[in-house]
Amino acid sequence: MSIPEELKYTVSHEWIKVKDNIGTVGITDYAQDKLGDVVFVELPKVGAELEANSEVAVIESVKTAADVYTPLSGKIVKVNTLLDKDPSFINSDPYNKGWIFEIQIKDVSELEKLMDSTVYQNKISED
Amino acid sequence: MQSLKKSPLNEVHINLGAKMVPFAGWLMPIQYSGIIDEHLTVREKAGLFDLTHMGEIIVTGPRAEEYVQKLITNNTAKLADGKAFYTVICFETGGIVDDVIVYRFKKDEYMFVVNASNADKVFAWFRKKLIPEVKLIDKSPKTALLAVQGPASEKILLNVGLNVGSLNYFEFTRQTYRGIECIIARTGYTGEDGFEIFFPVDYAFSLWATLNTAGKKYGLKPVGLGARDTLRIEVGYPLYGNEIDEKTNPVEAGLSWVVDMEKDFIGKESLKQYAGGKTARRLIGFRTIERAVPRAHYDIFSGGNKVGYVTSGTLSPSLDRGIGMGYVPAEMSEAGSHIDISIRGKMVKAEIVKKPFYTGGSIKRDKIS
Repeated sequence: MSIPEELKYTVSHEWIKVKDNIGTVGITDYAQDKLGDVVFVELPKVGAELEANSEVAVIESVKTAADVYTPLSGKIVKVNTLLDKDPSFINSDPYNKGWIFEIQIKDVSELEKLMDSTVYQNKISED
Repeated sequence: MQSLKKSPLNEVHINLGAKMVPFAGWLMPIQYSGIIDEHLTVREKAGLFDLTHMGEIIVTGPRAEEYVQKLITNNTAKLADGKAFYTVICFETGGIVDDVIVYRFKKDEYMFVVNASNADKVFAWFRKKLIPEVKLIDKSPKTALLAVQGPASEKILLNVGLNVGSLNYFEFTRQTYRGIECIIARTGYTGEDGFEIFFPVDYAFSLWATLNTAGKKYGLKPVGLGARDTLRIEVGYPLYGNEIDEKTNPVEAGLSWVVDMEKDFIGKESLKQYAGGKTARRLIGFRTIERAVPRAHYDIFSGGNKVGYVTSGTLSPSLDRGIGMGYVPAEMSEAGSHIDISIRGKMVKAEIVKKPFYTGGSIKRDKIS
């Protein structure tokens, strides 16, 4: 199960990569494996302002529908429209082509509440 | 929690990378390579299924036919030795005990293949209704069931030396294969040509290995319960617990074709009120207009009012569209009508269509006798 070191993680299995003031968010390899074949992604609206941990997107696999939560508060500035055409990038490339949205971070200190790769690894091995 | 029963192939599935899930009291594989890949493999080539969780009940004795006739809604007169059919078993209320396939070995010997989730209930029901000179044997614990489904199925079975070429749809044969007593039936739950092989559990490993190895060059892959569900939804087959249950009658479920009101059976008196198909609600098939994923228990709306609910739904891997089944009032059940499915709080437009949704299957329907 791939867990890149440079990313931060949530208990609800999102990852976030921060550069300058922008966070790129997707779901982890572990999460996509649990969901199975992803067939539909309901993307957030660009411009939406959200509090940390609020529902931001929905991923539908053949088996189930799962909410995606934003790890940080902020404003959605970009969404991965590639997923409209091919939602399976969430399965095949969860940390790159499978990214879901970019958020302009409101409060960088919220990052401290997230897990690093080691803590996340420990968390999923308990599941 | 009661411990889960394991298939004799449990280790084999795990070694193949299957995700194992609890299903009807069993630990069974839900997927191996992925539901969509497995689904399309069955449509295009062939899939190998472990269905050992299914229940098998043998009914024998001089009065077996009379007994079976009383239990089921379909008519045993349509059966002959080596033939099988689909039927339901009803309570006196007309509600459904289970949907099953009945195989006739001889006039006084039958096999019922029942849903795993209902196996205990059905056996108890059979015992309750038992008559003299009839014997029941629950063969489930000693019987393994493998299915090979898909257009390449016949080639694969012939390739390993199973003698199935002369079998028509819903016919079966008993044969000894490498010392294994097998019942091989040309039946399935996928809309494709295919076979189901019943045999003693002790041989599960060797028969699985034989079929899986020989099938590779025909593109055969192991297929789990996830794709089994999407395959059966695409051809509009009911699943007990979803489309039918103890509170559902076969007429509203669209199963009148297996109910013979000319003969006597348990539940007939109750079903008389639905003569001519007059039920308050009907099971429909629907297709979403846009790409969306309907699922069981979602509400169905019409003109802003809740009128029914979804019993099964999925994104059809073959059609790349949301499809599903559900109950609506009979007067709204006409094909071509529009309904809305409430999907996570949003109304998604759908059209009522005739089942099956997928019509490209390899079943040799012309061979139905």
